Amino acid sequence: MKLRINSLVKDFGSFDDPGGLFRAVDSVSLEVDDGELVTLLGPSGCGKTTLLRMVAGFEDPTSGGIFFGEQRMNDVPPNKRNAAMVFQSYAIFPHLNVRDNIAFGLRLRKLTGMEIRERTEKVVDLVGLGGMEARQPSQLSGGQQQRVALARAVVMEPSLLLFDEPLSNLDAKLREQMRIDIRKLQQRLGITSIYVTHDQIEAMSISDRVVVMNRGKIEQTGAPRELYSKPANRFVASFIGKAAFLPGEKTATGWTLLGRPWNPEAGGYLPQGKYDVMIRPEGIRLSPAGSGLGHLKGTVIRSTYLGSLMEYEVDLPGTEPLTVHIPNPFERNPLAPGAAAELTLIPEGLHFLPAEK
Amino acid sequence: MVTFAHGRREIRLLARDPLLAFLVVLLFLSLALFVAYPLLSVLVKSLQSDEGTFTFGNYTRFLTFKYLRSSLWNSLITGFATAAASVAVGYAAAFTITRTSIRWKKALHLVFILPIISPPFTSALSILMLFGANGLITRGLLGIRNYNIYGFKGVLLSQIFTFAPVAYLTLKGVLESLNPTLEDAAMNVGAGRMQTFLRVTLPLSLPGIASAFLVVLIESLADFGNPLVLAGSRFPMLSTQAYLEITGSFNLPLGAALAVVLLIPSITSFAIQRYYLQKRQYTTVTGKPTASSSKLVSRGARRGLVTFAALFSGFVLLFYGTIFLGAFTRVWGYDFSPTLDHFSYAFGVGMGTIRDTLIVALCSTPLSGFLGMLIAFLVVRTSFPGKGLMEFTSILNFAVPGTVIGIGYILAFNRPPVVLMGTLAILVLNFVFRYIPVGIQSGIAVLRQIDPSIEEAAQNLGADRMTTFRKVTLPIIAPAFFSGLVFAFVRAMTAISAAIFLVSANWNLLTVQILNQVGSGRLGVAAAFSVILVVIVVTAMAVIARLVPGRTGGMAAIRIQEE
Repeated sequence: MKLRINSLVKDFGSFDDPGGLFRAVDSVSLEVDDGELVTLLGPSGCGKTTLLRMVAGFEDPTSGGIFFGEQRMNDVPPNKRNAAMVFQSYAIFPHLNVRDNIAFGLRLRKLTGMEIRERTEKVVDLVGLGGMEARQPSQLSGGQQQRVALARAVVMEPSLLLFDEPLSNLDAKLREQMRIDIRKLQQRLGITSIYVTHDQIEAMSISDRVVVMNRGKIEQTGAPRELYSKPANRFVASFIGKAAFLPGEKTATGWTLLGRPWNPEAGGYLPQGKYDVMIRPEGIRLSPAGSGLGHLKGTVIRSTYLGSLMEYEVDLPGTEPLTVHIPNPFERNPLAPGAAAELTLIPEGLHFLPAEK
Repeated sequence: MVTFAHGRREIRLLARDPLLAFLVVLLFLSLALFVAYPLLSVLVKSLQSDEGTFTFGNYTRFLTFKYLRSSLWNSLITGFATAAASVAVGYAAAFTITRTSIRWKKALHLVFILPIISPPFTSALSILMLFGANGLITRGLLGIRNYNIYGFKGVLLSQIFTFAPVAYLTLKGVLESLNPTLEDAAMNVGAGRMQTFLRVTLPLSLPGIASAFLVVLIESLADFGNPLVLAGSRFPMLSTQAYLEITGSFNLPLGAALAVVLLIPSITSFAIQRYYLQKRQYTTVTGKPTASSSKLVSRGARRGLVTFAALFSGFVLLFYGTIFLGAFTRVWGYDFSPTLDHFSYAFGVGMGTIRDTLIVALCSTPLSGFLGMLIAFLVVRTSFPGKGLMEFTSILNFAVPGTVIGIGYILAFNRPPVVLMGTLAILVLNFVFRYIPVGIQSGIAVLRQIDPSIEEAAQNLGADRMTTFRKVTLPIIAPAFFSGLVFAFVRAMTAISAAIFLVSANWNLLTVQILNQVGSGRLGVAAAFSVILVVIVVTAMAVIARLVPGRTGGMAAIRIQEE
């Protein structure tokens, strides 16, 4: 089923204080294709959860429309939407065991006992909860509770699956595993899904497309690769991964970077003007001073061994220190703090944004 | 404009959820009819002459007649004295339980709160038997003839005994919720025990103390049983005087005026307690209560506290023992030979009353419990126009003395459009609407602790509001719900002040029966009825505690009263 969101607005206000009006979601439009998983990503308070809750029917939009397929859903109560949700706190019914939690929605649909049992058993196996059907929620670990919540949503065969930061209460290892399991399950069942998170790695690894939100508005929508390599603005660039911005300018005679002539070997199609030249830590090469390999000269102020990569912080005159990632640091003698270094910006890693202010 | 738009959206929400709209309208109508309308009737009646014309005459009469005027003064002075003494006793008891390591804490706690589950004039009865003209102590032990216990001292003694447990429960909660590490911290930076107590423990419990003071003040002002038995004619008090004006002199307008006068200090105390003090409680709990430090209490202080605890529980047991013995004694004060006559008389004359009391309690208890939880649910979890008004109206009866409510009910329901006098319904309705505030308060407290997404999950899976309430919310709040039920049951069995106006030849109550027996001097029969009543209450509590799974002890019910 296709989901369409049309100029959706949500204002929160109070009875007593008209001035206390707060626009949580600001004319957001979005389409999610059948079977697609779209992630809403953004810092806390950006409106992503409010948007999700409007789709679920827990909040009423101030204006705009929500369409499941061709049907307008604005006035359909949450219990009639068939948009199953996995809650951040799991929201497992504490008085029901695993089986009854999962069968809760099916019983409300007045299915036959036989059918309920079949579907419940199938889903229990699907999420890997076999043998735990009779357990009480208090006897489950966080990861298992998460699986109950997932099973309880999936068993409804919903037209839409909604995830509200489902993994934020799990530890890092488990989070990674669940992420993979959720994605597999979603692709296997082909259910259109919206996934809310503030974790960019989670967003990138699980989604077909990511919607980056800030202050109630969509900053950019795109596939993970597109967002990372071609962010629309500095907010998106900094929110997804680490990025540095160097002041550059294109004139009739060529490029300058940090005021010095420069040949970026990229951006030839761009009009003349001032640019923020975005570069990510892995888009920089570092070589010892005097090697003549680099274009920019700086001083190493910190070097940290992180196993799979070496992280440097390099001070560059005229700008903020840069972070540089060098993969496979097999060499025994990395550049030490205080060492002078030359930096090369890899052309494929460059991205040009019109200069802000 | 925003307010208007918001209000309109809420009305639209109601329109979308017809069941919710129906419930809201139904609740508003019943609250208006059974809470607001009776109160208004009292106010209107107090401004009427005998002929029904508008007049301030009843109030001028109250101000000019010294006897009537003194009833306000007497009620206030008794109220303040009772509150001060009860808080002192309650604080000492709570401090003993929470800050010392004495033995038999649990038993001691049960003895402390025993007076709460007995009819409000059990103590008045035992005081008569111990200190009255033919009292066991005054005449029997000390040989004083015709000792006069009536008046201020009698009422005060009886009320302290009745209400100190209430203060104790409140203050125990307060002291338990004070993080004991604060006291450890004070001692750690060099404060002595006394300094720690005076500079940390006491200041932090001050809002709780003030709150307990006002709660006892409200209860003392509203108290009916103790004054009726012990005040005597030379010490008029407001709640009983209003009753006597109506039943003795058939002067309804004057009775109503006295009720309104009584309402003023009650409502004021309630407003201060609820809207001012409650925001100032220090809740320093961060998770589970940690083990309290017993280093705060020196050996000498401990000895003092233990002596006090022993004395107080001794008094409680003495009072109960007296009632128990009195029920089996031929003529208290003259002939102490054992007999079952009082019980056979009680069962002979009072079987119908016992039956009536049980029917009224069993009808009103579930209604009140369910209604309380429903209103709590609506207030916490839904949004509709007039929500604040509904919460206010439904807890209003918490502050209104039973006498006022009783007068309101006879004024409101002995004439069309709704005639209920002499029926079972009026008793049941009166209890339901008087005791829902307790259910509402505890319901609100519990609901606020439940993660709202659990209910959202149910809706998300296809449950409508009613199904969500039935299948998810209700089972989760069941323990609080049943505690509320126990409380409502105990209150319905032991209430007197409003009920005394509403009983009839058809439907009588045990408490009224006890009071009648005291009034006609049959103390033995009154004691027998009291024993029967306490046995029924304790049995019911035990049964409910058995029926309800989990940790809902019957006694837990009492705790919610003050929360």
